[in-house]
Amino acid sequence: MARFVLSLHTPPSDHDSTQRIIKFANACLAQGHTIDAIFLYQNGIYHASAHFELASDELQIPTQWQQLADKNVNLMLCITAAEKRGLNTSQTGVFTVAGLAEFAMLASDADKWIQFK
Amino acid sequence: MKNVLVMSQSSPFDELNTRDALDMALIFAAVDQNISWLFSGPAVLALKHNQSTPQLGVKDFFKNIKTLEIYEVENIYVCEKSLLDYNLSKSQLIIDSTSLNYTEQQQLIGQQDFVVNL
Repeated sequence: MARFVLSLHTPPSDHDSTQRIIKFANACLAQGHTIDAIFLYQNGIYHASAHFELASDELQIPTQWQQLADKNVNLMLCITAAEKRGLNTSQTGVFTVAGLAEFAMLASDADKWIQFK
Repeated sequence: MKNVLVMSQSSPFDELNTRDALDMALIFAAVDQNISWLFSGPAVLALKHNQSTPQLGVKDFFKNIKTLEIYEVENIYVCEKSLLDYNLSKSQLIIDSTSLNYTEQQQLIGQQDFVVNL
């Protein structure tokens, strides 16, 4: 069984990469692999916004992340990337504010790092 | 120790891509991994001398690129074809680098544990 870290580099408006990372993460867990972290970097940090207002027929992005959080997946966002982009880092929902160094250490111990963008 | 390759393929002023790549390269060096950075396409312009950031009103991150070696980011590669495309010679670049043809770039990628496109 492999240990994965996943990074997401695109904003919530990119529904394709959002669905790919979430489906990949669920498939990993279903097959018994471990996900050490999902890390939001670059414009991916907007997934941690607390200000989604989505109609019910839209892709329910916060709900999808909540479901992964319920499976105890470590969801992190890059503080530097978030601050540069004006995200409110005191309100990041299921995502934990973290440094790039924390991600680099987790990645260094993992078997695979998969980037979604 | 992991072999980690950062690949930059966008212009130095395209979003924060080059700066995000710079942060990523520095951090993996800081946690003692074997980091390499490959510049191709318009990304080679990040290594061009005489870039004037005050005129552009952006932070001078070129000075951080110049000091990469101090932070043990020593494996800097540039795409040979991209240097030709932008009419650049190695002597016009702000840091020491190794130019690679496509086959050599494939080999470099093949040697890595992780590759990230930023």
